[in-house]
Amino acid sequence: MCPINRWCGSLAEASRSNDPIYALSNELKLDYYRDAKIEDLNFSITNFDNLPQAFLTIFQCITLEGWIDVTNMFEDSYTVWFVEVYFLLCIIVCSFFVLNLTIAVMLLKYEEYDKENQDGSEHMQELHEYGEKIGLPLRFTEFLIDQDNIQISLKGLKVL
Amino acid sequence: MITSTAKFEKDDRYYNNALTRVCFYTVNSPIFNGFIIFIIVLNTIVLSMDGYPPQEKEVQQVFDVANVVFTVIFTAELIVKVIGLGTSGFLADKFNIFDGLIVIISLVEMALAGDDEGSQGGALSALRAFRLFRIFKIFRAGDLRTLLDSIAFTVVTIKDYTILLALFIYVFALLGMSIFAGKVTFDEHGDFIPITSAGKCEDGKLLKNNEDIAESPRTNYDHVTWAMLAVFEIMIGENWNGVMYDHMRTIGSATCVYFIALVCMGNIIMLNLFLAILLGNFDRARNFGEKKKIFDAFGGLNDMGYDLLVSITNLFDDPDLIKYIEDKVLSDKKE
Repeated sequence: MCPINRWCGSLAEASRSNDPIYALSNELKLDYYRDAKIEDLNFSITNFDNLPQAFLTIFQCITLEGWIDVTNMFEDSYTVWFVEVYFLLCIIVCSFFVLNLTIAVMLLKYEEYDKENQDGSEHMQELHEYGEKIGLPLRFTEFLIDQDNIQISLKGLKVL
Repeated sequence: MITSTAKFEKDDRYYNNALTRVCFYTVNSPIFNGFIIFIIVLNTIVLSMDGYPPQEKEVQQVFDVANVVFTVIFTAELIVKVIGLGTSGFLADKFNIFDGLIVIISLVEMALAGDDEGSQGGALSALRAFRLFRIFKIFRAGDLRTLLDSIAFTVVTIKDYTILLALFIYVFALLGMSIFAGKVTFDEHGDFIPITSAGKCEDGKLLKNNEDIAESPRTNYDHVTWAMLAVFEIMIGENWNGVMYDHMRTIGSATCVYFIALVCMGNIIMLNLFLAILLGNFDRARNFGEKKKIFDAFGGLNDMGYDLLVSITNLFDDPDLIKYIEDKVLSDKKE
């Protein structure tokens, strides 16, 4: 039976367990690089043994791909509450905030750049030609095009 | 091209024709349009009844008859519209062109399906599904139309991005092929098989039946098509770590640089660029639609013979704005 307050069944647990259900084959148990052959342990790639590997583990968790597997793995092999707090902090701070801030900055920069080049776009050109066709003064056409937020209703035109 | 709504002038020779007049009023009547929308919805329901295993023969026959009836109704609608609006008036609305294409496809399908009664038309009956797109007709009025317009606007303006994305995927696929092609193979137990540059196994035991057991994983870089699929998969972010593990185990830990670069540039930058373009275009499409409406309004005023310069100042309700427009925007008239 699995002791209270522990999650059993993972291979990290099984390697320590004497239960024959969880026991690995003898051949695998004697192998020093056993973990590197086990898929459930991510082939021993996601760990914090050295800086590059720690970086890779954290990067994978930030992309939200398979982070719960990594978390469960470390929960099984270390203090549960600390691992929980560590990974949740990692997800909330790095993934929710830092990664999305990067995206926000990108969107902002794109919008800035886009606005600069908007005047020459073919759609604005189309409006220019249309204004010329119906005989609107050129300056008024340009004024209309320059307005970011202009609405038409039964009451008339409204600049917001 | 901006086209103002089709006008039906009174002195037009078509207007004196009784048939044309009847068709014109039919097209503009709410009963006719309501009936057509009802038929479109009914058509959608009938098409959704199809399934596997097939319905009983009697039920299937009812559906077949219904499909013919729908095709006939849509064809009749098309004819009434062409007569009522005139060819140029009909072609002015892009939705009409779309409807026409749907009817032609339906007629082709009906004509070809009639030849072989037993096989139910086979692949050609799939063309029937195109009629489902007519459900967009319901979107013609209201905010949903704006939404649809925004999508169309974005699809048109996104071509540069598509080329960039295709190029990006191609470059990363070729880069991946030069590193990984043919080197990532596993045996039936999922253990990797180290292969030397000469294409032979390092392990003597595996060498003799290497070709039988060595298998590339599903996501591989062995061929340019598979490589592009792999790059796309990793770019989307689906199970990218699993693919990375496979390649790290076989080639070496340094290959993670390739995957991290791909995720950073593909997932974080390229896909969010798409988001940025989409958001920007959505804004711009709404803006453009609103401005088009204003220009259309001025065009209408011009056609009715109003003085535009007087109209402009009368249309704004903010006195400060009117003053601004009179002083700054329209001042070239005073000079």
